[in-house]
Amino acid sequence: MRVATAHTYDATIAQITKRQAELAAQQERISSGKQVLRASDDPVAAALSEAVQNRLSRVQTDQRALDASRTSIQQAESALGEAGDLVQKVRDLIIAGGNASYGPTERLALANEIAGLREQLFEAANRQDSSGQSLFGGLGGSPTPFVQEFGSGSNEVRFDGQRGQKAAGDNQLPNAMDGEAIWMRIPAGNGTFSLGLPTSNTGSLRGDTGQVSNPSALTGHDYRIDFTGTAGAMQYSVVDVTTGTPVPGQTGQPYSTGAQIEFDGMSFRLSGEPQAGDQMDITPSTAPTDMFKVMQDAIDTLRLDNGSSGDAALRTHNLGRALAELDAGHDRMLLARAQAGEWLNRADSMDGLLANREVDYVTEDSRLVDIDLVKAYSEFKTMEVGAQAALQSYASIQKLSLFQYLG
Amino acid sequence: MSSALNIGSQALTANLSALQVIGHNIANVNTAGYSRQSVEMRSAGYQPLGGFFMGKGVELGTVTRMHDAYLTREAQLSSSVASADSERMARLSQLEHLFPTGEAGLGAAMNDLLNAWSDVASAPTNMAARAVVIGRGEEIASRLRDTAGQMDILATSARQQVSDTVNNINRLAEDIAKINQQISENQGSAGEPNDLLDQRDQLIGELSKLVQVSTVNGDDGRINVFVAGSQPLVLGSGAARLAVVPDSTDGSQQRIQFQQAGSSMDLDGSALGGELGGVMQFIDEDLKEVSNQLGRMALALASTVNTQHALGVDLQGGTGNNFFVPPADAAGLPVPTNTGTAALHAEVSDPTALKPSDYQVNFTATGVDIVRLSDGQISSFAGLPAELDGLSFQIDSGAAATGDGFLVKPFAAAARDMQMAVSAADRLAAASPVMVTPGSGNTSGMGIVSLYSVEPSANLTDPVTLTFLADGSFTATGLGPGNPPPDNVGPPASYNYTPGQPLQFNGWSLTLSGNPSAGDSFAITAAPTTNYAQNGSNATGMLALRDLATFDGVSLSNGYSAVLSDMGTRVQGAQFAASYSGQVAASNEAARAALSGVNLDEEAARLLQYQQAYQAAAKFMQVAQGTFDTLLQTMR
Repeated sequence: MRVATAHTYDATIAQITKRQAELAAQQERISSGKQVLRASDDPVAAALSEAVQNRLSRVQTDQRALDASRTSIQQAESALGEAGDLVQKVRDLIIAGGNASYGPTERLALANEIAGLREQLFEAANRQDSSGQSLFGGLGGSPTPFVQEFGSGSNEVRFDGQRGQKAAGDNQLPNAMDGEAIWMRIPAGNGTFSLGLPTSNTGSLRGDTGQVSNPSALTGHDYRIDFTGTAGAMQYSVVDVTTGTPVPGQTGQPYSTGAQIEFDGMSFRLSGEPQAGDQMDITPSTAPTDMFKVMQDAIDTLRLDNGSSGDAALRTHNLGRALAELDAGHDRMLLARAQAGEWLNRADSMDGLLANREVDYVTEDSRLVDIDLVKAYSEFKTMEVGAQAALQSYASIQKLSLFQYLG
Repeated sequence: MSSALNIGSQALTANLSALQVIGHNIANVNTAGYSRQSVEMRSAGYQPLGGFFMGKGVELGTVTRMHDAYLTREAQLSSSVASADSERMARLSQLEHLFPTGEAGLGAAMNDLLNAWSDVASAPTNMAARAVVIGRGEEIASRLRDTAGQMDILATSARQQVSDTVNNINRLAEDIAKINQQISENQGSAGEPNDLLDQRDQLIGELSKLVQVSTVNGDDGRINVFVAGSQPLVLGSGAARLAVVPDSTDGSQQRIQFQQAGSSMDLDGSALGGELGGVMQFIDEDLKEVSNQLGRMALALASTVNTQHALGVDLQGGTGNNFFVPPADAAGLPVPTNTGTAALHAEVSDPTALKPSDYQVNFTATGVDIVRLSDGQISSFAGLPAELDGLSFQIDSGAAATGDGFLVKPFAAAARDMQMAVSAADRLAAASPVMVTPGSGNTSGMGIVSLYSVEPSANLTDPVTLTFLADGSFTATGLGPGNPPPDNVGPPASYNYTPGQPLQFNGWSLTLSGNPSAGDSFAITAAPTTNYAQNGSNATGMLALRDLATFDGVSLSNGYSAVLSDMGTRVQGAQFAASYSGQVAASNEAARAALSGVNLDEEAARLLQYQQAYQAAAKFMQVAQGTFDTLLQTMR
């Protein structure tokens, strides 16, 4: 075959240019550490890597959301812990309030102390996280979910948040807890009915919280117990206020302190010495009470001073009931705190899971687009040798010319 | 005696001519397109001399160029294909640089926007998180605009190249016609005008690089050159011309026209071959398709995000406005031959069904044919409005006549016009207009995962109560029209429940988890019109868009990887084609050069050969002169 001189040069130059371009491309890959720099290097790997990176950024987003939730729940949990301490203190104060040797001044001091603790509980329930979101607002609603309502002599608390609890998902946790369920749904009395004393009583009659003896016999009616007779020979009669008729078998019964009274599925114990004309009201618990109202009732009870001989019995009765309701409320707080603790545990395991997933995605992405440096460098070396050989052979071939031998 | 001198001088002349040709070859060793020449010596015949035939020496036969028309033709053809491929590849790799991968890519920007809603969902009260969403929105909008703008620049420079190339083609055609003329004038003498022929081959070679041509030998040594199969660009000594004209329907595109003697004819640009064909293919196919993909991504993102945003409520209590400025409807470009008065447009009706293509709307005697130009599929309708591929084609005004046609480019301007519409953090509609309240008697077995609106509905905020039955299904009261029928006929008629699966009624989507107890109920009502700050439910709805199957089943968040893989495959294909056709062209050129190229060593050898022959002839002259002198001295 003939070899055209000019074409040899052109072909050699093209070869050398090509070798150098390959070297430069390989060098670019090695220095960037990526096998796939552009989509055309490996379209499939590039598209897969893009999808992996999307998932990676999704995981990182989930992790941020989880961190935010965890911070909120931690704050909610500590607020619940604080609230638990407050309730415990209130409980001690209520028990102290039952001390018969205390006079009105001591009781007033106790009442004021409970009022202060109630304010603190109120503050804990309205607590917000660092970004201004209420911790106990449930599904949303107001930034201050618990609102004091002043009016008609009583200061009650209204829940302004949205009732309900967000569920914890596979990789997300709620940011807020349902404050309504924690503080606003305490069963009144024993949860079915409650015993109340009118302030007009003059004797020392008081009752316990009672219990349900036969659920199927419950009527849901209002009842009143009237006392007649003289000291030592007291009699009581139970009237169904709703129907206006006496309860069968409960009229003109003899009364002695510690008497266990049972009718229409309800059972309770009365104690103390009532005076004729004293009464006991039995009302069904239709609506739950709330922690703030329980405390307010205790405060009102401690402040009670009608100058009547029945005051002490009324105080004892009401404080006993407050204590029972406070304990029921405390149970709900403990339940919520346990729930928060469980979520925090779950946050830790989710965190680990997300971190593992992140590592997996990074590994997968690296496998797709990163370069195997050892392999790449050895390829580079091979290319380098090739390029060198091309240059050297070019240099020696261009020396070969017949004209050099012509004199 | 004189014949001996004659033989000597003839040999001297002939060998000197041969040396001259060798010199010419050596001189042109690096001349592009030069074919080496060689002399043919032949015996000068004989004269009868007393019964003998005495040779008369040597004479110059002819000077021929070493040339094979077929090899030259092959080299020209393959260089045509190679330059088309390499031109397209060069343009495509420029285009590919506009679509980077990973964190620098559009996909990351789009995901950043969607993921930024997570912080808003976690803390709807956090104004900084809201500001980040707006910042990310501006980022993706400006990136889309920028990418579209860069593609426009690429298109402009490619169009400039087309008109420059066409000018060059016309100049070369005229030169070839002139040389044809010169060759025909020199025709008829004994030898061939080798250097003119070389020059013409060289010009045709240059022309082949620009546009694929075929040649036919004509009269008097002239060559006729044809483009696009059968259009005579050079006919004898006359040249026609190519011209670049704007497309009659879509003025933003250009067409190549063949013009000759007052008549003109449109050519299919991407079938022309050569650099011109390569660039035209890049403009007409690659750029258009990639631009449609980008436009579809922008349009789908803007439409889905706008729809979800409009379903939410902002901090001011107002219904969400557009998040992005809504892309303008694509107006139909009328074909110039239309006789009707209709004007039409296409608007997005379902952003998840879009196909990256332009459309041709043809009015026929029986209705309307809409052609999807990317694959040529025709869909027939009785008339407009018609729905196709998530687009709604509608007549704005006037009436169309049978035979009228319109070109609709729904995605042409989408990316270029991408703009943020929301600019204030408190106008971000992160809140949901609906809320759910669990019944007060619910057992604690069920939790609420999410509630947000998913589509516009007149009954969105109607109070609805879901009550679970003992068998785990639920009844729904207060549902508006247009909801799915109950799964169980009942009575009571009830819907089936799967924990964790969204329940969609009245335009909202409620997801519950856990196992229901009989009597559990959930009330869906309008959210209170105060305190939207604590409500981030629509942000959760935005996050759900990430998994919305949008691009032929690919989720919105993975939309860019589809564009990327299409882009990558395109460039890779072009690279393979360019590398392959480049090699073919190189080997054809090598074959041509092997025959026609000058080898200096060969010339050196021939130089010695003819030099020695010349020297020998001169010696012979000397001998002849010596014998003549001897004779003269004898006579003295």
